[in-house]
Amino acid sequence: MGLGAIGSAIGEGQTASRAALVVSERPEQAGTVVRTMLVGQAVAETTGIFSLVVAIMLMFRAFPGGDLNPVVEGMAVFAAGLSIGVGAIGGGVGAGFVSAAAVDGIVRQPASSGLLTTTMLIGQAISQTTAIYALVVSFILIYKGFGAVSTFPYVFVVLSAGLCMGFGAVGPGMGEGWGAGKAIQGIARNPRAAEKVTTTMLVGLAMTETSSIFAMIVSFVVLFKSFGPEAQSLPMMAAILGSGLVVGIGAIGSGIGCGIVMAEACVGIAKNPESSTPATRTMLIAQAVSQSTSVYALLVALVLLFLL
Amino acid sequence: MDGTINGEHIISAAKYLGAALAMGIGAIGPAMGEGFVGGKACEGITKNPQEQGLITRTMLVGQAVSESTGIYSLVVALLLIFVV
Repeated sequence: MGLGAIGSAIGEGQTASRAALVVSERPEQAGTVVRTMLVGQAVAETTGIFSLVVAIMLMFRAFPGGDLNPVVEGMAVFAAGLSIGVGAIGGGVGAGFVSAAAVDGIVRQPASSGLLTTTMLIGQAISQTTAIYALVVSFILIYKGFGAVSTFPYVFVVLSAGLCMGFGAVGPGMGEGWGAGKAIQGIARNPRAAEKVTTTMLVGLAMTETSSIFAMIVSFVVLFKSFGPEAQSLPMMAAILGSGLVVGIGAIGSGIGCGIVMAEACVGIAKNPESSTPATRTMLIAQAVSQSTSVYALLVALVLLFLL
Repeated sequence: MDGTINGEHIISAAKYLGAALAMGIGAIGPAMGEGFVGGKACEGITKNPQEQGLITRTMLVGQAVSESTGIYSLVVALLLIFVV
């Protein structure tokens, strides 16, 4: 919750400060700007609300006795908190980048405020998906009910899944927000290029999303794989924890890197819409290369989980 | 846990965690660096679309160099898991 609130607070703060700046430059448009700012902040806020929901659920959840292993369940709720808490940082900051750019753009081009707000909502929704993945993993951790499993290795299983998705959501969320923000900036400069910029933005966002999907896959694999007695040794538990950490941390760079690529591509296409085909092609190549490191991380995680 | 933790267990556990951290943290830098390269390449192509081939080729060379640190991490991770 605390960490999740940091993300959405940074995002909202950025939007508000940008809004204040532009209102002081053009006081006559204060109404539109404030309206867009509030919509954008509301979306950036949702990640904070996700964390709040999980935090409240964790506080009021009645733990059934029965045959649940209390140590594993305790670690599972801790991991659930980590997943959404850390995971919400990316979505919150990313959505803030997007709405700050939209506010800026609406002041420059009040006539296209509808177009910019639509694009803002698309960009924010996609940058928010990473936080939704983290929320899904949190819910699974809270409600799966691990039954009468042995304390080891399952305390590390749940911790690994939570860390993996939590860290894995940060980079893509921020990268997508940065990219979508730059796309909006481009559309605001040249609204006629909106269609081409939006297409490239969506392709770029999909690529940026991949590394957080890797993180989600590894969380699920770790959570739903059944571990036999041989996994109770210290090295195997380290491998389980490591597989979550490597994909989670490895996704940070790829997410941000892909976001930077698509940001420049969208700004450039807005300036010169004719170049959209070659620029999009090169953007895809560059994003694929930037993605390769998170593929290496995935490889190491799979080796740790299945080949030892 | 079966209660048998000896030095060998601790070393293996440290190897696996070390491999994970090497690859995980090692992936951050190259990916972001490649992002900067790719971003500027896209910017260049939109300014001068005729030079797409040249720019993409140069971009790939730059990204390959930036990638090398990620490959070092992968090699170190695999060495830690399988060889050491």
